[in-house]
Amino acid sequence: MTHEFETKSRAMPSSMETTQATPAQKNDRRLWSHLRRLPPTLYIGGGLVFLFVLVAFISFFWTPYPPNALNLQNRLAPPGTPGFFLGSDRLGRDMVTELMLGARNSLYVSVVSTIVAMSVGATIGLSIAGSKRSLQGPLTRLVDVGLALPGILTALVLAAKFGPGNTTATIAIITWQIPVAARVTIGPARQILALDYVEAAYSYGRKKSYVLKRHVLPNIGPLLIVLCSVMFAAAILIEAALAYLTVGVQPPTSSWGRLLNETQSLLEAAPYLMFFPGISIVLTALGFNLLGDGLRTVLDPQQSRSGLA
Amino acid sequence: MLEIRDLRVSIEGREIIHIEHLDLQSGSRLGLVGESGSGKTMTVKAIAGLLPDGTKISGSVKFDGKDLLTLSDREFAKVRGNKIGFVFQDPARSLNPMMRIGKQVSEAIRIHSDLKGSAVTEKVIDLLGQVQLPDPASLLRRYPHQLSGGQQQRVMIAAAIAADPDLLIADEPTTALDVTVQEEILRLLISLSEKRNMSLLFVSHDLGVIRFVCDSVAVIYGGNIVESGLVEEVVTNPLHRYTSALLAANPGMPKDNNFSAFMGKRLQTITGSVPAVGKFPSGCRFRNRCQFVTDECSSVPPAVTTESDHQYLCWNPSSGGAS
Repeated sequence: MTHEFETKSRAMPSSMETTQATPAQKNDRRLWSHLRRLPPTLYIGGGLVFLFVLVAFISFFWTPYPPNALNLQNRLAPPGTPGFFLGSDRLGRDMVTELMLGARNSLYVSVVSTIVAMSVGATIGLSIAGSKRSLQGPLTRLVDVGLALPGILTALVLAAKFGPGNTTATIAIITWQIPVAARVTIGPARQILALDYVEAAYSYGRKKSYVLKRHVLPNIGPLLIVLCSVMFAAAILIEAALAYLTVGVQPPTSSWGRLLNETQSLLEAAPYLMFFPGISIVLTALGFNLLGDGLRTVLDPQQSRSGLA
Repeated sequence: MLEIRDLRVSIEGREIIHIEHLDLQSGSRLGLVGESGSGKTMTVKAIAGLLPDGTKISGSVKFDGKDLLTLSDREFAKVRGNKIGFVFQDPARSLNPMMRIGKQVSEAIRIHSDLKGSAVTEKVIDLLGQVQLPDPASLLRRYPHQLSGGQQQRVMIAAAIAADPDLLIADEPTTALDVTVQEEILRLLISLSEKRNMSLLFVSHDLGVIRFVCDSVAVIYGGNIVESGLVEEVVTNPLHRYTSALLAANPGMPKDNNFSAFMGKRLQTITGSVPAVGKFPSGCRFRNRCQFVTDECSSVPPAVTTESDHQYLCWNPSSGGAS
C-alpha cells in the first residue's frame, strides 16, 4: 500500500512542488518516506535496546543511591514508596539503582562475549567455507558437535574449575556462541564463494584468503549484523541465567539474574521484588530479538520492499 | 603463444574435455564455438586455472613457453590477471555488488604491479577511458548496480585488461547483453586486441559473432575440437557435419530485406541435445545426432584430418559448401 502511494506521488508531482522544493527538501521528504516504510519491529526493538544501553550508561554517572547503599529503615519497601520508586530489597537497597547497575553488567558481558564469539566464530566459518571441499563436511560436523554442547553445563563445569564470576560467565557464553556464529556463517559464505564475482577475483590473481576477507565477508555482512543482534539477546539471557544459578557475577556486583535469585526467597513476603528484574530481562531480550528481526527485513534484499540494501 | 596439447579434464572420473591440439598465435583472435554443454566454458576455465575443486586435468597448456598445468597455485595466481585476463558471461554477476568500480578495476593492478595511491587511480581512469566509458573519474566511486549492463561489461573488460595481459579470454561476453550493446562490446574487444597486440580467445555459441570478431575458429562438441581453421575457410567450406549443421541452423539475413523468402521456410535444427557427460556414443561423439552417419562412425573415433587449410574430425565430411 505504501508502495503504491509512493509511485503515485512520484508520477504526478504538482507543478508547485517541483518549482518550490529545494534539493535539500526533496532529500528530507525521501528520507521520511524511507523511514515510514521501515518495519515497526525495527522501531520497537531499537527503542528497547536504546533504552537499555542508555540506562546502562547513565548508571556510570548517576544512580538514585550510591551502589549498595543500605537503608535498613526501608527494607522491602513496596513500589511507590517515597524515595524508592520500584521498592527496595531486604537490606533496603533501592531497586532502581540495582536495576541500573544490573543493566550495566548485562551490557558489559553481552558486548564482550558477542564481539569475541562473533569474530572467532565468523573466522572459523569463513575458513571452513573456504577449505577444500573434501574437508568441509567433516569440519562442519565438528561445528555441529560444538553446537550440541549444552551451554549451561559448560558454564557449570567452568565455574567448578575456575570459580564463579563475570569472567567465567563471559567465557562460557563465548564458547557457547562460537559454534553458532560459525555454523550460521558457513552456508552463506559458501553461497557467495560460488558466485561469478568471486571467480572474477581469482581471475585477477587474488588468493583465497583475500577473497574471503574482501569479497565474501562484506557480502555476508548484513547477515552477521542480524546474527549479532540475536546473539546479544541470547547473551543477556544466559548472563541472567548464570547469575541466577550463582555461577555468574558475584555479590556485591548487581545483576538482573542475581536479583531474581535473591528475591526468590522473599516470594511470599515481597512478591513485587522479582517482577522488575524479570521484566527487565524479558524486555531487553525481546528488544534485541525484535531489532534483529527488523534488521533482517531491512537488510535482506529478498524480503525488503524498502530497498535500503 | 598458447599451445594446447592433449588437454584432458575430468570430473569424478568422467572425461569431459579432450583437446588434442589447439594453438593461438600472439595477437590473433580465436573463436571457440559450440552448443551449451559442449565444453566451451570448461576449456577456457581449464586454461585460466579456474576449474572447481575436484576436477582432474592432464596434458599440457603452454603459454609463452611455460606449461601452465605444472605451476603451483601461487605461481598460477601470478599469471592470472597479469598475463591472462578473463571476461565473464554475465557482468552483473561478475562484479562484486558491495565494491566500488574503481577498486574492482584496480584489483589486478594492485596485485601485479608496484603502483600505489594516485598512480593506481590514474591508471584506472585511463583504463575506463580505454573501454570508452564516459566521465571515468566520476565512475570510480560508483557501485555496479548504478551502471547499465553494457557499462558493467566495459568495467569488467577494463578490470580484465588492467595489468596489460597478453591473452584475454572472453567467455560469451555479450550473451547477457541486448543486441545493440553486443555490437559495441564486440567492436571494443576487437579494437583493444588490435591496439594492444593482445590475443583474444573468444567463446560463443554464435558463429556469426565469431566470424565478426575472430580470425580463426575452433568448433567444439562433446569436449573435442571437431573442426578448426581460419574463420572464412571454416564458414564457407565446413567439413565436419556438426559445423555444417550449425551453419544451416543459422537463419542469416534475408537478401535485400526480402523477408517473404524467409516466410514459411523451415529452419534446420540439430535434433536432440548434447548428451550428458559420460553418455556419449562410441566412436564419433556426434554420431547419434548426425544425419550422415556411416558404419565407420560408430566403431572408431575419427582421427584429425587436415584438408584445405583446416583440421577436422569426421569420417564422412561434407564435400564443401553449406548444405
